[in-house]
Amino acid sequence: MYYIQFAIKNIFRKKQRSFVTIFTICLGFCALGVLSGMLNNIYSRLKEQAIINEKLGHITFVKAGYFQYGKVNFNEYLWNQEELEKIIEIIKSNDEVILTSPRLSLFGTLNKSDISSIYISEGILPEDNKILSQTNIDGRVNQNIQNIDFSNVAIGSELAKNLDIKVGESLTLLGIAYDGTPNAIDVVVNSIYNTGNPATNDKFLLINLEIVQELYGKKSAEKIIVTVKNSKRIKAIQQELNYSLENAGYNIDSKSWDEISVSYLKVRKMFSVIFRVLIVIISIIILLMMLNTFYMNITERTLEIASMRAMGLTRGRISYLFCLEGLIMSILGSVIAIAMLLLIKFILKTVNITFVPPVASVEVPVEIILIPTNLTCLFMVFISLGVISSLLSVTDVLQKSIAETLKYKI
Amino acid sequence: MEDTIIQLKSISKRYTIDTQIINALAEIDFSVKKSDFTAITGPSGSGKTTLLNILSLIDIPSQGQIIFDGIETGKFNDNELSKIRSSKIGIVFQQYSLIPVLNVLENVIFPLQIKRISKHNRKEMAVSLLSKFGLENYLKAKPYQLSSGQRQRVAIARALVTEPLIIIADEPTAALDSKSGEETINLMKEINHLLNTTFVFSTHDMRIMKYAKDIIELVDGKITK
Ligand SMILES: Nc1ncnc2c1ncn2[C@@H]1O[C@H](COP(=O)(O)OP(=O)(O)OP(=O)(O)O)[C@@H](O)[C@H]1O
Ligand SMILES: [Mg+2]
Repeated sequence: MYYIQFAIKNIFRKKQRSFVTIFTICLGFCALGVLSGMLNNIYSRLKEQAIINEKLGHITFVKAGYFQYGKVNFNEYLWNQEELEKIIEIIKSNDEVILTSPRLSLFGTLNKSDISSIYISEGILPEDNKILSQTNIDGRVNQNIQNIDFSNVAIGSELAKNLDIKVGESLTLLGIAYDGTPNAIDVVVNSIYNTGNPATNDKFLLINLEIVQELYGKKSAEKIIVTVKNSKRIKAIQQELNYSLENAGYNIDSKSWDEISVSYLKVRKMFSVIFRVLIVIISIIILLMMLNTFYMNITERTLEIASMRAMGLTRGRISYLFCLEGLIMSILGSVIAIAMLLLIKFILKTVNITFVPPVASVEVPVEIILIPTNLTCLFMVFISLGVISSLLSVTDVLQKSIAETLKYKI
Repeated sequence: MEDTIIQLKSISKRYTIDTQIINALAEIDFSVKKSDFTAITGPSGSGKTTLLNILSLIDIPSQGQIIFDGIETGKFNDNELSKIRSSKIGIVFQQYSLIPVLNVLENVIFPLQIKRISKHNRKEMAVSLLSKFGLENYLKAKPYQLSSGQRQRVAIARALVTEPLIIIADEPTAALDSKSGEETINLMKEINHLLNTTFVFSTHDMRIMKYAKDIIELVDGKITK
C-alpha cells in the first residue's frame, strides 16, 4: 500500500507527461478495441450469413459418404421416407435441439416463356425456414429477415432481374427425378429476395420441399439441418447425436456450420492475421513511446534513485516501485479505454450506419462487438507493456554503482 | 576495540580513465569509534567523497578490508549491504536528497518504511524527532517550500530517525550560507553530545572544522594527519 501511494504521488509529479503516457495507452487500446470489435461484428454477420442466409443451420447430418461422393452420385445418398421419419424422431428427442429441417436439392434449368437459365435450389419446408431465420446469432434474433413467402418458390433478386420475373408469375422448373428421368413442374413465384451472397443471388431459388419431393416422385431427403438452443454446445450436441444415430443403426456423417462454410473460415483467418500484425505494430509503438517518457522520468530522478538506494532501498524494491508506476498508468489508460469503447459502441448503435461485409450483398449495421475475453487479452497486453517499459527504463540506472549515480547532475 | 564501529584496513580505490590509473585512495587505515565527531578535510580531488562512500558501504574498495560493527563486509552482496545501510547507517547528502513528492514527515518516515517499522510507530518516531528539530510546523511542507537550512535539518532528522550507529555526511554544509551552515553543524554536534551518535563528515570550511573532535586530512588519497 505504501509503495502504491508513493507511485501515485510520483505519477502526479509530472501531470502532463503522465497524462500523455496514459492517453497513448488509452489510444492504442481503443484502436485495437475498435478494430477487434468491428472484426467481431464482421465474424458475427458472416456467421449469420452462413447459418441463416445460406441455411446451414448449426449441424448438417447426411448419409455416410455424402460429403465425399454425394456431388457425383447424389441418388445413392438419399434417405427414404421411413428412414427420414425415424432419424428426425431420434434427433428431436434431444431436448437441446430447436429445429430439425430435412433438405432435398434440385438443379436444372428454369424456363419463362422462351428464356431459360440454370438454377440451383434446395427444398426446405417454409415453416422450418421461419424457425431457422429466428436463430439466435450472438444474442441477436432477426425478426423480419428471410421471413419470405415461398409456399411455391422465392427467387434470388439477380436471377429475377436477369429473367425479368415478377412476383405472381409462373415458371417451369426442369429437373431430374430420382430414377434419372427428366421431369418438369410448374411453380408460382411467391417472392423475390436477396440471398445475401452475390455468388448465389443470380442462380438460387428457395423452394418448398414438398414441391421438390413431388418432382422427384419420392418423399426423401439428402440432409437434415439442425439448430440448437445454445450455440456454444454445437460440437457437444453433434457428438451426442452422432452417437445416438449410430446406436440406432444409421450410418451417418455430420458437419457443423463452420466446417461447411468455407468463406467464413477463410475470412476469419485472414482478418485474424491482419489483427495480430496490428497488435504487434501498435504494441511496439506504445512500448517505444512509454520507454521514451520513462527514460526521461528516470533521468530526472537519477539522484533520487541513488539516494534511495544509499538509504538502503534494494534494487528489487526500486524496480518494484517503477513497475507500479508503469502498472498504474497502464491500468488507468486501459480502464479509460474500455469506458471509451463502451461509449463508441453506444454511439454506433444510436447513429446506425451500415456497411456491406465481405462476401455478402446485404447491408448490415456498423457495430462493434466487445467480447470480454478479447478485452481481457488487450488488457494483459497493455499491462505487460507498462511493466516491461518501466523495468527496461530503470535497469540501466540500477546497474551502475550508487557512488557513480550520486554524482549525477541533471 | 569494542566500541569501534568501522575499521578500514589498507583500503585502496583505483579508477582507470583511458590508460591512466588514478589512486583516489591509497592504502588507507582508519577507524571510527563510538561517539566520534570526525571531520575529513583536504583539497578538492583528494578522495574525501570516495572515503565517505566506502565508509557508508555505497562504494566498494578496489583493495582492503572494511569491518563494520565487527563484521567483514567484503563478501556481502548488494541486498545485504542495503540491509546494513538501512538499519545501521544514516547518510546526509550535500543537497537535493529529499524526495520531492513526499512532505517533510513522509521523508523522515521513508527510512523507517525501508526498515519495515510498523506504521503507527514510524509516524510517532518521525513526529517526535521533527519536533525536537523545531520543524513541527512544517510536517506537511514539501521540500521545495523549505529553506536550504531547513532542508538540511530534515535530512539530518531522516538520517537519525532509524537510530543508526553512525551518520555519514559528505559536505553537509557546502550548499548552505554560513549562518545555516553553522546551525546545521551545531545541530549535529548537539545530537552527538546528547545521544552519543557518531558522525563522520567532510568539509572544506574552517569554521565548520573547528566543531570536530578529530580532523583527518587527505591529500592525494592518503591521510596526512
Ligand atoms: N567514477 C570515477 N571515475 C574516475 N575517477 C574518479 C571517479 N570518481 C572519483 N574519481 C577520482 O578520484 C579522486 C577523488 O575524488 P573525490 O570525489 O573523492 O574527491 P573529493 O575529495 O571528494 O573532492 P571534492 O572536494 O571536489 O568533492 C579524484 O581525482 C577523481 O577524479
Ligand atoms: Mg567530494
